[in-house]
Amino acid sequence: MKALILSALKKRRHGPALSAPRVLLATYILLAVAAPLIAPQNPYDPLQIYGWEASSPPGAAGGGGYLYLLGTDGLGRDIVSTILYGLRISLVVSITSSAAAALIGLTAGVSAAYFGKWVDVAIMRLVDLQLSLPTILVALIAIVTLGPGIDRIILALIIAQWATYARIARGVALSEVGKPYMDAARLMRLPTRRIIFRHLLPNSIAPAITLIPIEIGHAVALEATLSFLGLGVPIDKPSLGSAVANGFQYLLTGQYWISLFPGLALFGLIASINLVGEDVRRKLDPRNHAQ
Amino acid sequence: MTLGNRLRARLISASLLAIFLWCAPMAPALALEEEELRIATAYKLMTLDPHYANLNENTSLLSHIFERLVYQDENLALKPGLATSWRPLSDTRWEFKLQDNVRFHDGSAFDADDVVYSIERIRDFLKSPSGGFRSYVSGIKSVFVPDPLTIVIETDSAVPNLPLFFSSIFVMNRPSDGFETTEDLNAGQAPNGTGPYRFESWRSGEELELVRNADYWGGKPAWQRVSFRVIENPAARVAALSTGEIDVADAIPARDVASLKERGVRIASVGAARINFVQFDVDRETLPGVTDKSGQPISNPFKDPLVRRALALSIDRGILVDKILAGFGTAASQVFPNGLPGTSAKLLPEVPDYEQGKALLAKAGYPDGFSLVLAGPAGRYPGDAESLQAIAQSWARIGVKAQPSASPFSVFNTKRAAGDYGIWYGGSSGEAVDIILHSLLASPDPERGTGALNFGKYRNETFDRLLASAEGIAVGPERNAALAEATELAMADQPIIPLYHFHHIVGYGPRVGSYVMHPRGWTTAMQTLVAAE
Repeated sequence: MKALILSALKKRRHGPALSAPRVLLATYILLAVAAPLIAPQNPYDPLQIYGWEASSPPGAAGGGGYLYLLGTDGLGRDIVSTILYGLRISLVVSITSSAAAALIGLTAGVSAAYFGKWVDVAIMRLVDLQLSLPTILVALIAIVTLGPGIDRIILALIIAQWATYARIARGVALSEVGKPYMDAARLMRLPTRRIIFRHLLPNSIAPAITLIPIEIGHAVALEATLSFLGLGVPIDKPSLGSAVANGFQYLLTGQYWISLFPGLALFGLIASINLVGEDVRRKLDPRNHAQ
Repeated sequence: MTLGNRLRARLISASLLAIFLWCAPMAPALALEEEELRIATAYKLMTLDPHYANLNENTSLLSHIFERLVYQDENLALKPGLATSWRPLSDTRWEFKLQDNVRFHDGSAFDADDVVYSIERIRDFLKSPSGGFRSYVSGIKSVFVPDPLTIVIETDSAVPNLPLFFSSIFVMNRPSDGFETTEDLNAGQAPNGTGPYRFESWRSGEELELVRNADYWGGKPAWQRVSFRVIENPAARVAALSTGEIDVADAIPARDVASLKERGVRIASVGAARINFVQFDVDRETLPGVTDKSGQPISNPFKDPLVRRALALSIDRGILVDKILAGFGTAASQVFPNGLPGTSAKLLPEVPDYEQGKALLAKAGYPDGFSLVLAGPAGRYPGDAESLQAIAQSWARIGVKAQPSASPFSVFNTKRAAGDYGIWYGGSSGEAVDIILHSLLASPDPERGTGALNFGKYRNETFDRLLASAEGIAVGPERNAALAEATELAMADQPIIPLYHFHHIVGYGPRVGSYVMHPRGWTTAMQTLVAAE
């Protein structure tokens, strides 16, 4: 009986398979993938936008046969479609940039630990320098230098995020470098690349991997912030952040829907990624398994 | 313990009494403060030198301190300022009679020599990067002063617009020797003018404090004190106005007008003597960002008037004016709103005709259209970045794929000068139609000073000739007709696409009785009246 309760408690701590955040996140991903099929309008195609229907309130019927369920923005883009297409940008940008930042950061951190000496100093001082600045500042400097464009945003986010991974990977790798299997690999005269990528990296990766889901949430927020500030995505291809910014100037005029709905969508997206990410992190954390 | 408490109680009552006593004599002072006018402006005053750069940022605020010989009324017609009258003595000679009994803020008398000093300072003393005023005096050959209240100006060739030019030149007081430098003036050596308000203090780019000039020759100025605060963010200006923190705010975004009115703020607006337009580079063989649909560079399509015409025909100005400017703008067909002197009654704003636009493109050899990057500033003019996107929507209907690209004005301006753009959105304002035609459409020629804003290097010799001959005609109907004719000729060739004339919008609170708008768009205390009790 006691054992049953204990195991039930244990299961409870890992959360049910179909928690609300997971369902929400899955819905978001589904919507983003299916956006071109389900969106009533392609907000990036100027031929489908009717300037005369700008600032229509939620529920207004458009001349093009659309029902503007959540209204239109100041240039006549359907808000529902803007949100759906904006989701695609947010997810693609954040997942790509987090994956690339993890790859670069892990390699850099593990290399620093393996080679030591000046390589370690060079990489880790750069990491220290970068981590001493707020992430948003680093991203801002990067995007201002790189110029606008979705590819540039991804690059800026990679630059802003790699350092976190590097620091964690170096810490773990340092404790691995001294272990017997590493000595064995070195004594077998395996090539350095093979030692790093086949032996050291896989064994140092776990703690850093747990960081990825959380960092994806950060990346969504960072992209939205940059877009809100008018840096990053082109003005005619709004992401969630720039959709909020577009509506910001209309807030005082009572046209709340231009900002509010993309804002809510963004809030839900970041919240669900963070909750699911936290869940995943707890599952992957070796200390949790040990118990 | 009890002693301490009692002491504390006494201290409190004593300080309360002190506050009360201190407040009593303050009451009249508070009443005086009632006469302060607080203005929030978007114009970022960066210098106290009235001859440094001809930008509204400087001239708008400095016009309280310094005055001009000639003023323009609400229809841009000339009226007397420091000059009481003026007349041409011959084609190349003008005589100005000056106002008597005018004193500078330091008490010294104003006379013709101060006008001579101001002309010399602009023409001979000030060095680049200052400028903008020099074109007004570059045609002046010599200046005579027959008596202290008369000045005769001789020009190299006929300059019928000379009195108009003097509506832009601020008169400074001649110092005991030499010339005042811009640095001296900026360092806070009190600027010495004849204007209705005296300088008190300033912080560059932030604020300007002025007090009434009780000895003003034109009658007692309305306000005891005038304080300008530079608030560049439109939302912050609107917020400060609606909370009553300030009395007047300029450059109100059109979309905020309705909600401000609901909160009891009154709004004044006027069609501005200015134009916003799309400009083409018609000079270079290939252009950055201009490609065929597959991304391959093509030769400059804007050299062909048919292409320019097709793009002009395919813009929905109704959306720009009614939706983006919320009605606070006028669709444009030429450089000034129809009806102002020198405009053509024949040029009317066009409604979009996408069929004909497509046909013209096909005739020019682009049946499938092409791609371009449409550049423009963001936040410089009302509706600028939004217009880029609305124009892109319109052009998509004739197969032209436009990628809007908005940057902060400083970035935009630098890149445009560097030739990074092939087609862009721009703006221009001026005292008269011929001044805009002179800088925007006339062939670039540094020696004659034409085409300073003709960044697209448009050249049309017939237009140049027509404009030059119009500029030689004395101000009046004949000159206006000649300018209208020159405009019609140029517009048939479509060197630019006129978009709209936005309206200046000013909001003012209960302490201001009325605000008189002026098409030049300056924001001044002289345009306000104190509210009656």
